[in-house]
Amino acid sequence: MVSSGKNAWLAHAVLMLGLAVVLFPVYVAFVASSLPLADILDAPMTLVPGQNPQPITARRSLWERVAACRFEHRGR
Amino acid sequence: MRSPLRSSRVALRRAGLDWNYLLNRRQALLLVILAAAWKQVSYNFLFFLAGLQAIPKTLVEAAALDGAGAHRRFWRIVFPLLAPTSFFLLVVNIVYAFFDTFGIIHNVTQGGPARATEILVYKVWYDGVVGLDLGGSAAQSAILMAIVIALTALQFRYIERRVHYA
Repeated sequence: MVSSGKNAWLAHAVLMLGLAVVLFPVYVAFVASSLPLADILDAPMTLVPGQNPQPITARRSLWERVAACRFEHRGR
Repeated sequence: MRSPLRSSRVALRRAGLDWNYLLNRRQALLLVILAAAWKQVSYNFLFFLAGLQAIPKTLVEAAALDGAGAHRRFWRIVFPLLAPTSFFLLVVNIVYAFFDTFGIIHNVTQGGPARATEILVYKVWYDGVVGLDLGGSAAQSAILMAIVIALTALQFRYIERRVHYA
């Protein structure tokens, strides 16, 4: 009764748009985490995640990198 | 300008806008505001969703049966019943804008260009920790506290009067 066919479509479209706005920067951060620095700084940054998830520091898992970042950045 | 935000700069350039938040004061402030607002969207969404779900469906249906259109139902029933939620979010968001935007400013502009984005919390930190003017920093933090308390008191005095708790 309260929301009928066409209105429901419009409401869902607005919600989907809002969801895209909120999630897009998170997705960009996710993609950036899988790219080498040069690709992140490339003018239109690609929105496709990198082929090799961790090309920057070779042969390290994501968790090792997160743990390592905490200490490596201290030294700056 | 080598930064991950260069992509958006290139895109805006193609659209005919010279986007450079490291040089343009208004653009820097706009960027900080957009980022801070974006960060709060999910929080506000959650509270508004809870507020909407707390409204009894029977009220809306009764109004519909009485012939009230969608606009009337919103302004006469949903909006007043959301007032407590909206008021809470207003107070919380204003406090957020005064204090918690520090991290965004520190990461994006460091208060620049030419202090365009140096809001009071940022100045309190800069003068105290970087400038080592501890007395001035402490005084400014007290002023900041007074401003926020006054703003909150004003909201409770003049806006909460129009909020009815069910």
